[in-house]
Amino acid sequence: MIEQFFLRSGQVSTALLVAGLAALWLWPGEPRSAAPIYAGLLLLMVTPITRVSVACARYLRAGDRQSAALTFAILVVVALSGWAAMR
Amino acid sequence: MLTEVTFSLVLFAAAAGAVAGTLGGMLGLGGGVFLVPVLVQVLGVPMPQAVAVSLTTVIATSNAVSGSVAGRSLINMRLGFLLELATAAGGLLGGFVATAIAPRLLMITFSLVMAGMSVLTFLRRDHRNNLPSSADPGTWGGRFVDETSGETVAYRVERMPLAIGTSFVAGTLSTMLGIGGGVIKVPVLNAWCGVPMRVASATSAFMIGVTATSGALIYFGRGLLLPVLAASAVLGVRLGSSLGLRLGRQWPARRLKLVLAVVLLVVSAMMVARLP
Repeated sequence: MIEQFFLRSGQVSTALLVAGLAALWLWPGEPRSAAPIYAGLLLLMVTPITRVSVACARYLRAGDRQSAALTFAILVVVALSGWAAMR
Repeated sequence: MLTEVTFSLVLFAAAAGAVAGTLGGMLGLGGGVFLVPVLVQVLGVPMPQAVAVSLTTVIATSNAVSGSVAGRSLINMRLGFLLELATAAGGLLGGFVATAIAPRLLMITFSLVMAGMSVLTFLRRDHRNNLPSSADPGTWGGRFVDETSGETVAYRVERMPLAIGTSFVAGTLSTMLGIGGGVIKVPVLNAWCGVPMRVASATSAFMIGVTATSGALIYFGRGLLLPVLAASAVLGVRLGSSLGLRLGRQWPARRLKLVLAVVLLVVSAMMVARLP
């Protein structure tokens, strides 16, 4: 099911981007026209971090503590980077 | 102009994204080193917005490679996660020391390193890291099917401290220069660390998406992402990465290395051209 999510997320984000571009072209002054694009871009951006989170959970379930710690550390450092950049 | 959908804008951004996606799918590069100057100099996009679009396309390339069957069979996840940790830590450092180093000195150093990597990649174009499938891949190595020969081959990761150190430096430069870092990691992993070209490219493509995410989300949250430009470039990446993945699988490693050597040389020259 999770594999399907990753496979489909690319297709869904592509569909949202195309729909958003078409909406902006048809109704250029309408602020809501860009909403599908933002949704598509957000879906695109969260996919890599979701992938790391899922891997972390899988390693934990499999009892591979070393790899689980590694993936968890990545999530922590990425969160710290985001925090540092926001300051 | 950049918030309206015009045919020429969509086409141009998609074409630029397609080039970045092809390089990403084929060589594991994010394409930011090409995309940022093109957006700034040709379309007149302000630097922060150009970097935001570039980071988004890096993630799109990474997702395309990581989500494909071909990419997943080549990605070394455990190695990727280990090196990604070093890259992310380097990126964190880069955020703090970004103002401490003169941009001109940084760009000259980066340009020289790229030129050196290009020469190294060219000189080692006939070197192969493939071992017989029965060989022990060790803790961090692995096996994959080489599509050009149809055989399963093994590889062993060597000089791990160098791979980790390079990933750390790539992460630091990634933050300081707004690039994905693949241009540094792929040649080093292939030339010195025993990782076959296809595995190095796919694993790098997987890593650059994670590296780019935090930055991209920040730009997104601050409203610096131009929706039309980003959407068009990402759609171009989707097309280009499919082509790049196919070429990366079918072309001999020697040809891929020659393309990489040329790309590194072009990156080096582009950096010199952008010197303040």
